[in-house]
Amino acid sequence: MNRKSILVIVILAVIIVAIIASVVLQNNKGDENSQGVAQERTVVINYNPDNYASAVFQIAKEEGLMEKYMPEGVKVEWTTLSSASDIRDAMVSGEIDIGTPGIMAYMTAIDNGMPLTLMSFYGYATVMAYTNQDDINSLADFKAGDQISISGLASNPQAAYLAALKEEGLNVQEYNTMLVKIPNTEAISMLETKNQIKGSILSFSANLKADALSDKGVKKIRDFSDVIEKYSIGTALIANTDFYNENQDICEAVRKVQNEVIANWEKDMDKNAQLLAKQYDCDVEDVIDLMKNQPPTDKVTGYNDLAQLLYDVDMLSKPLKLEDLPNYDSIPR
Amino acid sequence: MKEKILRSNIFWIVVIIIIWESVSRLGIISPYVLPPFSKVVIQLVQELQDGSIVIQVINSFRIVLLGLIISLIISIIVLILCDKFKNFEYFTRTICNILSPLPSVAILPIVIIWMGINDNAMLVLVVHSVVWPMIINLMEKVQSIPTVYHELLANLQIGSIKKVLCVYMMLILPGVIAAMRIGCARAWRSIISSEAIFGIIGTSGGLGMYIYVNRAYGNLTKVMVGIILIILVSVIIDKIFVALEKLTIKKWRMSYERE
Repeated sequence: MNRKSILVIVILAVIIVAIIASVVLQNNKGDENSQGVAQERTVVINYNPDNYASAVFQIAKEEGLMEKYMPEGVKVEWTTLSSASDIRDAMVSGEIDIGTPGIMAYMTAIDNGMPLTLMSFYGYATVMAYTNQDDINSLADFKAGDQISISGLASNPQAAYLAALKEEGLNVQEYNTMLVKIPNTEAISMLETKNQIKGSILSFSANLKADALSDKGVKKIRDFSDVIEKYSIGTALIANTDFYNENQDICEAVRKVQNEVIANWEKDMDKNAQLLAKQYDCDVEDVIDLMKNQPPTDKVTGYNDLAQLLYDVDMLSKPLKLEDLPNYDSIPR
Repeated sequence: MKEKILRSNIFWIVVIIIIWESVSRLGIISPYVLPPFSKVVIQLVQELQDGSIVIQVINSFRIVLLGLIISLIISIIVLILCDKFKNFEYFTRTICNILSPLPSVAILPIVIIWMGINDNAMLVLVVHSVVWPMIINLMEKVQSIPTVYHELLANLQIGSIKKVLCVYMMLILPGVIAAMRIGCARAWRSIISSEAIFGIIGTSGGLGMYIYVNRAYGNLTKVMVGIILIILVSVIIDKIFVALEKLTIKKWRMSYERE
């Protein structure tokens, strides 16, 4: 080995040691800081302002309930990511401490060993299927090669669609290949112009825009509310595992906020409906209907069924069981 | 010299792999964020054995290749028209200057509405990302041909089609290959990003879709497999262009720049 190679190896070794040392030092500094000013903590919470399944956080934020229940010295910061996979990734990287991604995104995350903890269920999704074809009246009428739009992968609409296929005895794998990812706005305009897609799986409030296109031949062919409840399809209250283990009091406070909003759901319905209608840019009556038909719950009921379904279509490497989660006893069910 | 460069490349790749494996295994960077290199390689082998990823690479490559060929044909037609009509050249330059900096992802929503979700839409995006810089590049190369050639061609009264196809294209071959090389890189970028945004589920799709789907399902190991495959395919394509240069320009001494 010549002198030049030895020099390069020495420089590399120094760089590696420096990286490791800086990380260790930074961690120690962080620990010292957290010990020195134990009172000052920040919790970053994400909610999706356009998603009814996150309505509990929207109401809690508006009413300042987080501040009411948080331990002293805890500052609450809000973020508004909307895609389930974006929320999940931000939680894994530690940018968000607590969030409400879709439960399917959570399942695929823990299947890949990501450090996320399920605290409770959060809210049911509202999902409908639409078509622009006269000869299609149910999911079974779609044929191989047809394209059905969906707003995102590992999303509640996809979970609802898969569950409905299973319930109707259709070939889940084959029908899953019909899905194409298109944002809701474009999907609605493609439904209207009968361009390319034959159907669309839409969640609230995009479904209202599709409802308004009935005179253009767009019709609803499936309401997924039966499978939504059976398979617990919706959002889940998830925490970064490190955060959950180190800040049990904050997580408990978030659960209390959730309980208060759920407890007052009926009582505060009119007031909250106005708030949500403004947020979703739709009529208050539409929101009230939804709030009556699909009140939020913290109870996880169909977790194992959904996990089995996702395992059957190769989206999970193993059929996860709720009882296998480390914090099983603390999850409302 | 070549051997030295090769040894140096291998050395640095090994260093990067060691650092990658170490930072992931030692937990300096969380393995969820950066899966260990060894895990990625195992996954890559499994995916190749399974075969479906090869089809996805072919799908992407097919559209890139088709887009490049279409762009080259359009560029040649434009060169012919520019040679025939001077005003058309000004028009082309204006259009190219406007559209060349426009990323293909920016026109994605319009293409979806116009073309639907299919290979044709992808092709439009690839052609858009390749054709404008390719035209500009070729036009500049034609302009840089020494005046003596232009004068000679004018004296011989050769028609525009013959002039472009039989003379210009030979004279500017290094420029054509360079434009194809740059165009190929742009096409790859374009197709990977548009596939990721189209995100066709389950049906045929390319490497971009493979990355998008696995990212959506939280499988970062497979995401890294997709990234490595893109790098490998890009390197192979680049080597093909280098070989093409050797087989033509260097072998036949075709560049007037060498004279």
